Amino acid sequence: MAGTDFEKMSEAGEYVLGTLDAAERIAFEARLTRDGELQAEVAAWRRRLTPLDAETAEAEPPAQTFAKILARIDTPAPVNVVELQRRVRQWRIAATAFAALAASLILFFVVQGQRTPSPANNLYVAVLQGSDAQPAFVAAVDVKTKSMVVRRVGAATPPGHSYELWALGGTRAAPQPLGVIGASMRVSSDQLGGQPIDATTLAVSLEPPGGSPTGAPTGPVLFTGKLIATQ
Amino acid sequence: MAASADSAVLTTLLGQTAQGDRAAFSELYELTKAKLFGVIRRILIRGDLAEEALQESYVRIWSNAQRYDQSQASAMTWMIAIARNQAIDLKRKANERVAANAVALEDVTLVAPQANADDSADLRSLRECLGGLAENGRDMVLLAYHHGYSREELSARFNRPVATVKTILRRSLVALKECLDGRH
Repeated sequence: MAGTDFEKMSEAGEYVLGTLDAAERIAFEARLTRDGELQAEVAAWRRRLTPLDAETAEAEPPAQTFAKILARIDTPAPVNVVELQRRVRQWRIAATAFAALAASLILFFVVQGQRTPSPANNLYVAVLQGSDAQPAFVAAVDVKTKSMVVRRVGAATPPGHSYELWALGGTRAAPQPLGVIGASMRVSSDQLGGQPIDATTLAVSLEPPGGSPTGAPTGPVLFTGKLIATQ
Repeated sequence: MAASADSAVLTTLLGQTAQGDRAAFSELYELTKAKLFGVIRRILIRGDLAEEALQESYVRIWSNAQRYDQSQASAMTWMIAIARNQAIDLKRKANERVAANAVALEDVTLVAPQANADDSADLRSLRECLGGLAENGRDMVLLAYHHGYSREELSARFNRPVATVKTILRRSLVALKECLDGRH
């Protein structure tokens, strides 16, 4: 078996087992959507392991569960006012963050001695969010100046830890480290390794002070966001 | 598995569910809920989380039924994969909320390896191949599959570094595939 097949096969096995860590899982699922061979490996592992399900005893769920499921599929979009208000608040925060980011980008370009910012089709942005859907970091890539700016808009790094930034997706086999991030960072977009920018998802993991000692995320991945073209 | 959960029936019901048929979905739920809840309860000890995972699983089964491909897996295998994903997701999120050292390492009783007369041939092969794995490979695979153990939890339980756990898991999976392929 060739090395890459071996890697694919055993990684798919760990995906089905559920033992990939959060960043690996995100990266794997991104590849899975467009890699037919990988889908076949996942299906093969499910077939191999599903006989074990016969060993699992059945358990009766609470009686009202199905009514709750029906209520959820009957209201595809949350329509209650509280939920709407929450969403509006989040969008306001996101919009404020975008505005702040845009302002800082323009300042950055001016400082660089560039008279006008790049056309919009050279700009990519990402809002990194956690499970509470609050923006934690915003990122922008300017292809023309080959720069990437990432700025924290959410909670500060917890004491005794560092936040580390990673690039996922594209043809990357594993999360690619981009460095420890404090309030903001600026790196060359060359560090994205020539991957298509809109195939890239940025992620921030919680690491020991100074960053991951292994070159791969060791702590939970707290925030993720996909880079999208502004035009 | 319940005798009522006949594979062809489930496939038909899932196909009708994909067309938006509520009655079929309701029947599908009745036939599969106990199995899926059993799978989820082994991963999520907390009852409220288990019920949340079950709800989320069936919402996804409803909305993704069109994507079910019967050439890839039986209807039950497909639904169990969704339930395990939901349960493991919720388990990881719950673990993140508590300190890493407070991860509940409940005393899990591993499945006894003895065979039963009514075991499927596939299950007998799988049990034998699992039994041949070196370095706690069998227990690690079973704890991950049945109870949603992460590498970190396996590391704590077997007192091995996380990187070693990953290596053992990968080696075990390769050996398992080779052993199972050799039997077909």
